[in-house]
Amino acid sequence: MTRRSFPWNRLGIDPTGDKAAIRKAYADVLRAINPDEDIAGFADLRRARDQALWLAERQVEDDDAAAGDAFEDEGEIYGLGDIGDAAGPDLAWDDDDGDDDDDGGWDIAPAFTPGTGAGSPPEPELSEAQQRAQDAWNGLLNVLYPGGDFSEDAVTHEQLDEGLAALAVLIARAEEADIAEHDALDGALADLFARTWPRSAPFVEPANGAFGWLDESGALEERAALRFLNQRIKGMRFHDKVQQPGHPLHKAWVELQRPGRAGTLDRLRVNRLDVHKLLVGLRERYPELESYLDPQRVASWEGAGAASAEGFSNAGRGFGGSVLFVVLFFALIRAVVALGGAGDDKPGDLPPPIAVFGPSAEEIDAAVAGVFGEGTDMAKVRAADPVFADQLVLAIRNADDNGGANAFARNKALQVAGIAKFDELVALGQMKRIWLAAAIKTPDHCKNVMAGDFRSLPLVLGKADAAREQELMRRLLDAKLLSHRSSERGGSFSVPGWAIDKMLAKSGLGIDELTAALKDPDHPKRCLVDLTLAEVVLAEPGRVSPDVLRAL
Amino acid sequence: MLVGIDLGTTNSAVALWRDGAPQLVPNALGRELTPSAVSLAKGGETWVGQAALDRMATHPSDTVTSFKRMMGTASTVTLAGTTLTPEDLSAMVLRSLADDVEAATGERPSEAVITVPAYFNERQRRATRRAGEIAGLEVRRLINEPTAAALAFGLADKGDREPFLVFDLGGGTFDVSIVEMFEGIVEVRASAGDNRLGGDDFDEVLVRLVEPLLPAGALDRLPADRRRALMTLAAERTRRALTTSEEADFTVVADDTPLTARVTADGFEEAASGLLKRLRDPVIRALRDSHIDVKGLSDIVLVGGATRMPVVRKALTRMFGRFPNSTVHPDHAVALGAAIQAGLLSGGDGLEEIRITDVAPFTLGVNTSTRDAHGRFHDDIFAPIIERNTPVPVSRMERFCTLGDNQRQVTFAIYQGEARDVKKNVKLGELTVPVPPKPAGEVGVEVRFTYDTSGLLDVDVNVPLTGLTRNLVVVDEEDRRSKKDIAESRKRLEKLKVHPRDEAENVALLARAERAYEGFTGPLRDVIGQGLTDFQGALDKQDPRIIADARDGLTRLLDEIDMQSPL
Repeated sequence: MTRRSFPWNRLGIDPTGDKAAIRKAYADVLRAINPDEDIAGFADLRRARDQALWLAERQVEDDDAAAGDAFEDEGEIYGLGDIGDAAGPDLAWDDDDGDDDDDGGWDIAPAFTPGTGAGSPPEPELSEAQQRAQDAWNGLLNVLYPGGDFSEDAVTHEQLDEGLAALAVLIARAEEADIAEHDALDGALADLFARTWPRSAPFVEPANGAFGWLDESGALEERAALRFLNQRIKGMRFHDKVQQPGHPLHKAWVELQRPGRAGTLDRLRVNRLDVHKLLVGLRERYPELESYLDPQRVASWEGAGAASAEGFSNAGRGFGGSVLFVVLFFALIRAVVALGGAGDDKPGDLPPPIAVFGPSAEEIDAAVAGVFGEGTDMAKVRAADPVFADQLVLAIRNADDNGGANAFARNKALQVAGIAKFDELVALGQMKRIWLAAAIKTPDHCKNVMAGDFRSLPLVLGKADAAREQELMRRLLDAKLLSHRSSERGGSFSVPGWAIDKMLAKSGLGIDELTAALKDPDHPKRCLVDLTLAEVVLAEPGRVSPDVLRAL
Repeated sequence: MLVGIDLGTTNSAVALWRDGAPQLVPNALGRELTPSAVSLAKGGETWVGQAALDRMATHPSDTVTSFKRMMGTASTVTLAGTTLTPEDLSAMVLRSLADDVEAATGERPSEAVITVPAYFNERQRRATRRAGEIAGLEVRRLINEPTAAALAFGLADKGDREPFLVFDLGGGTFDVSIVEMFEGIVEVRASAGDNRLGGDDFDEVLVRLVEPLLPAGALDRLPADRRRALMTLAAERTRRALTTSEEADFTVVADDTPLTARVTADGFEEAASGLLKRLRDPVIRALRDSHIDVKGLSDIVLVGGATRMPVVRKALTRMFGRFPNSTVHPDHAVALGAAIQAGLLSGGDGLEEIRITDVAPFTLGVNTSTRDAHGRFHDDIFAPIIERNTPVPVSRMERFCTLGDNQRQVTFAIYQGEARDVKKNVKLGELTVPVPPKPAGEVGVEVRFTYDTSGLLDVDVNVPLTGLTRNLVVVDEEDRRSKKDIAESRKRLEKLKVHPRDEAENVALLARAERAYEGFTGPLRDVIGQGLTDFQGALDKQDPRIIADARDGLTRLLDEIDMQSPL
């Protein structure tokens, strides 16, 4: 008997493209085992069967690749056409995975399935009802993308009527369509509305009524577009409710809507706790509603809060005028930018086919030397951390220029923070300081550094800094930390008073601006504050808790 | 002896694997279906099945149906002063089915395969298991209803089948399963459902539809439970009538006054549109989970009495773009499938080559806490360990670590469900393990879930640092606690006087005649009253031949009346 490899050894047959033979082999093995007593064996067998079927499928596809294509582009009907993709805004709501490419499914037009079933023709003939639905879809696109462009403006009355009429046609179509088309329409509308928010706001409730979007709210598999829209629907409902005089936060809401600063009388009239509750709640759940409030009013209430808190801590410690202790909660979710692969590969999935063309061994070694300094080549990396070596090779192959290796290693380094020990954290902090200093002139670059996205970032380091980075990278490599993967980090830390004082002196910012920048990742001074914090903390790393280092 | 039992919301049935085929066992009235209804009178007199159902109209507060919908909840029912749990009530139906088997074969069944909706959660499954034990049956396996139906459908010819969809809409539950058959393997690819949707809900819609149409007055004077019972019974009749005609009369008799409203099929469809919409979601979920396109389905197999409704068939035809397959008997398929599973377990002839693989219908996991970007703690976040629609048996491990400095112990609550917030899921149990005090995040805890083919969940928690392990068999734990409860329930039920089986026919007929008497007015009522008196007189004579004659006479009379009137 010849030696076979997985999956064929588990099935006990020679490699084959014959699916019936694979199923038969699976059935025979299954009958021979008792799954309840051999759970691992059963799981293994299932995996072998699925993998064998997948391989057989690929073989068939290779044999007649053309046959499969006929089905590919049958449904441009609910596609976004030539508008949309380019014009679509960079939505902030997918911050959960941070990987825009992951949502690529959005661009795929739902497959239109003619109810007749068997054998789809390459160009489906549309029934009258389907034609009407398509016209309505195009009408809705025109309303939401005026002149073919993304717009944040609210729709006019005429546009509202036009859009609602088109939506009604689509909903009616979905009601009578088969389940595949219904599902496609459901998904297409959700994607469209999420993309065109806030212009799509008046259309979301009626669609929710027809498709039951809110029912999916909170489910593990809630679709990305719906997670966004459902939150907005709840926001709109909250907005309606809070305007009713009976709502517990109604007074606070009305107060914050008034123009100008709040006077002493206002402060007596409205409960400060309610104002605080409203603001915290809004910012956490429905940030879009804050635009209904008067910024100056909000600022005056918040200023009052901060001032009194400051007064309290001063009184408590009695430390002549200096700000003693500022606790900051720090947004730390960093997108993990996985180079060359989807972010969400489940363990059981089959490996994606990898093209084996690519850089030569010399080119790889050169790229490796660029990351870890001369004298370190692929062989050394492999000896230190074989898992990371594999990932790095993949990254170098998939990168379109020679910056790929650096970008990948930097991103990996950022992910280390979750598990690193103290001195490694210091090393990481130093690296971060180098990157921030190099990126500080362009706010966008700075943001990229914080988000861990080094791919699109030409980070020009000075000679000394580059050498320092290489040395630090070598340390992380030797500690086998670079192969660690974490998808998201977050945490809180308090910046001790002495550090705040030093930061104030170093950055030249006022306390208000400093706090604001620490709280708001989009603050124009954020980059400067981050850099200053890194410099101050790294000067005396022993004086702060590891949390602060981790948060850098 | 091992039997297969379909314990349904509306009807139950029992079947055996005999002579290489599944066979239904008829009840004392000669019917394959026994209504899942129980009625009690003061003094412990008990009716189960058709007789109980007939007492619904006359003794609504002492009669209960659809108790399967309460399985797995803490609610109880008080009938004629006796408080019963849903398990007790189910056990009474099971016992009556066991009686039927004993009468037919001369042997009392000791073990059973009982079917449950695929979308029943752990608690509901446990309750079903307990019901079997109270009835004195060892439950060898719980099998999912659509899987059982698929067995009955697929074993008709034993050929290979491309994936097909079983659409099971019963009296109170709704299941969708996608099943494939090849080389004697029956493989469930995915299941989804709604365990709170069934024919009962359509009755309720009908009641709401006609309530404003009925003349006010007479109905409002009735006590609430009686009014509700009459309306529900009338709704069921009207729903049946609507399967064959475009319109039907909804008639109730209240205080000797017949009240009628006309219902059209279109009107009913419109009123039921909300329910029909709910049929769509589980179908989509099952298709998504199994990665199968609607077009890839070779058949849509209908199971469950509620799939007879034209409104449901119409909705289905639209949903799938083709006509569903109605070759299997919607009321018998599940019991037959249970008998096939029973045959499999006892090594019945002709079944040697058959294997079934099913899936876990729900996601199983534990609660976790995390700290968000603002440093706030968020408790009760669901961390899935076994994803739904994973083939069973399955064993998976996840690692968690401590969140606080010097944390002394870690408590895992075990949940089942699909919501990110555990509070919206079903809690199955809790397990606490001590950990050595260390800085946050430095103590790892491994949690392993093992879920076997009978739906038993086994949880192992291990702390690698100390080598400490804790184990929880979720089902066992509950059972150990309830061993005493089961014995007590059994004793309680034994006190109830069930009519001897050879009297079952007479008892059922009496209940039916009484119901008819209440339901009619005028001369017809007098005729029924006379028939009742005659029959009771015959019973008093205790002569089997006279009783049989009187029974036939009264049955014929009632059949005739039923044929003539819309009631």
